[in-house]
Amino acid sequence: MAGSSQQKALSRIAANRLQKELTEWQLHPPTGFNRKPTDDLQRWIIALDGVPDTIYAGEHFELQVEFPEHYPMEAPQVIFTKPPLHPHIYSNGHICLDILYEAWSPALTVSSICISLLSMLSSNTVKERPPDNDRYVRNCKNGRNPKDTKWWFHDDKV
Amino acid sequence: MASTAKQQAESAKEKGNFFFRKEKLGAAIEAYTEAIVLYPTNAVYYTNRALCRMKRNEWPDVATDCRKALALDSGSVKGHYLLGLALLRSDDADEAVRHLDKALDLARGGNGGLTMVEDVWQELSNAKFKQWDIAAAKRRERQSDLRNRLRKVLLEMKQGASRAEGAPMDIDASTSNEVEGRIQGRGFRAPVVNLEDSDDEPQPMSPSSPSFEAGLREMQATLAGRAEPRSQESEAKSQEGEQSGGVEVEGGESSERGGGRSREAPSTSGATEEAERGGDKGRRREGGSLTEKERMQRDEQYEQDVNTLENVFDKAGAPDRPGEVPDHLCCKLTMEIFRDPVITPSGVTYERTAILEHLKRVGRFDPVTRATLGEKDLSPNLALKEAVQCYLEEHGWAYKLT
Repeated sequence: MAGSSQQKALSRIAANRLQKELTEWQLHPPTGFNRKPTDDLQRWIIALDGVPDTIYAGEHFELQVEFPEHYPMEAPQVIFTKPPLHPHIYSNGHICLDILYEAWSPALTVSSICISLLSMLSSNTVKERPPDNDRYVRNCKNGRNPKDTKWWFHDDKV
Repeated sequence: MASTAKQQAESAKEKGNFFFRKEKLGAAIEAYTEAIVLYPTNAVYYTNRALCRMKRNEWPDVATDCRKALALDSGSVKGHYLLGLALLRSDDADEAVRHLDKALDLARGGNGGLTMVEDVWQELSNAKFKQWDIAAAKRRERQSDLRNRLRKVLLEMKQGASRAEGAPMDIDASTSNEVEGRIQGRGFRAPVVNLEDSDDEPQPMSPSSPSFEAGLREMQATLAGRAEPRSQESEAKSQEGEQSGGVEVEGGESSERGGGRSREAPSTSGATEEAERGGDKGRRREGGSLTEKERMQRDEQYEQDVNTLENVFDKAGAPDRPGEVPDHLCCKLTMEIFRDPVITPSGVTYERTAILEHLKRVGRFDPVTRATLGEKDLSPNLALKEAVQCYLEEHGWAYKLT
């Protein structure tokens, strides 16, 4: 269901808010993130560099952020299109991070999500997939929206 | 009898509503007209007809209908609202704002519903923006006019002083070009130097305005030959002949050039040799009726006056320059300037419609602190509302909707 709502155009409130976020992003982008210039306000592609002195130093990743009609009253859909090897990131790019799902708050922004993701990567010490990666990815075949997943949040250490 | 006419009018109105829903506007207008003829004292018939006429862009008729409706019922939200819209089209922004303000009050207080409040707000913002736009253009024109005249006065005072001292005002054409770059550099730089003293205003004046350049050419004619460089920065600019004019241009290459040479007036230290040559030529032509010190003091005075003048006008014009609304006047959810701010027990303020939407759609918690939150916990933040009003009165551009 949430997958189909993503197709809907942004509400006026959502479009306004995103325009503001974009302006703010252009003035003060979060360090290490680079939004690819497109005119699609509803779908952002963001490049991300692994932080020096972490296990991801020198690597490059890519995020896709899609905004629903009623953003920010609904969380955006955030997936890695070029995912890092991380115990909370599945090989299909889905991210196990509570603020993207049931802990979403409309006071969060694309910038604050990016910063959370960066800290999730930077604090990691082992490059490995989640233990249930294969099973999960198999179950996600038809381009399933991670927001439809019943997430079971492992821990908040990583 | 009367009640029959009233009933007939009501059924004519129903007919009108039916046509209106079918977008048969002509038929709807006829039906409402019939209702008005049958029962001329019901304001709703007029506002309904006005709504049809609005859809047909017949604005003068909209205004007429609304005025009749308001004469019958001064508390008609739709009457004030549609009249406001019509007045906007006839460029009467002040009256439009008055009526839209009234409509917003009535809609918020009564049962106008959220969409009505939002619609009225949109139009009110448009109207206020337009109002500001017109007023700001007038202010800008007046200020620029006065600024130019005062510049001229300062220049004339200086010229007058020179003539009284018998100093010739003619300029050698061959030197004027050489001096031009420097004078312009000074002219552009000068207000910035002054701004740095005044610690809070980050915005440089607009040096690219044609009137300013014209003023500079005038100043240059007078100053040529006697100009004393004012600071290293201004020298740097003059050497490049640069006209970009902005605070970001700092001394750069000039620091190794002119530094260290001290003069009586503190701000003239750091003269370069080129400037000295210019100064020498000027002094020779002048015939020496003033001592160098007197000349310098007079020029210094003039320059200070010009700087102060530019600075004062620059500050006076600042609120009219569109910029960013301060974060503390914006809702963290909508990221827009507050309209109807409400505060939570955590002390965070949100736009009323946004936080209500959040409580309904996302969850019963404060979006920032995540403390439990219900609708009844919200109180209007009147102080902030007033602060927003004050800000908007000063910065009408902030009404511009994205």
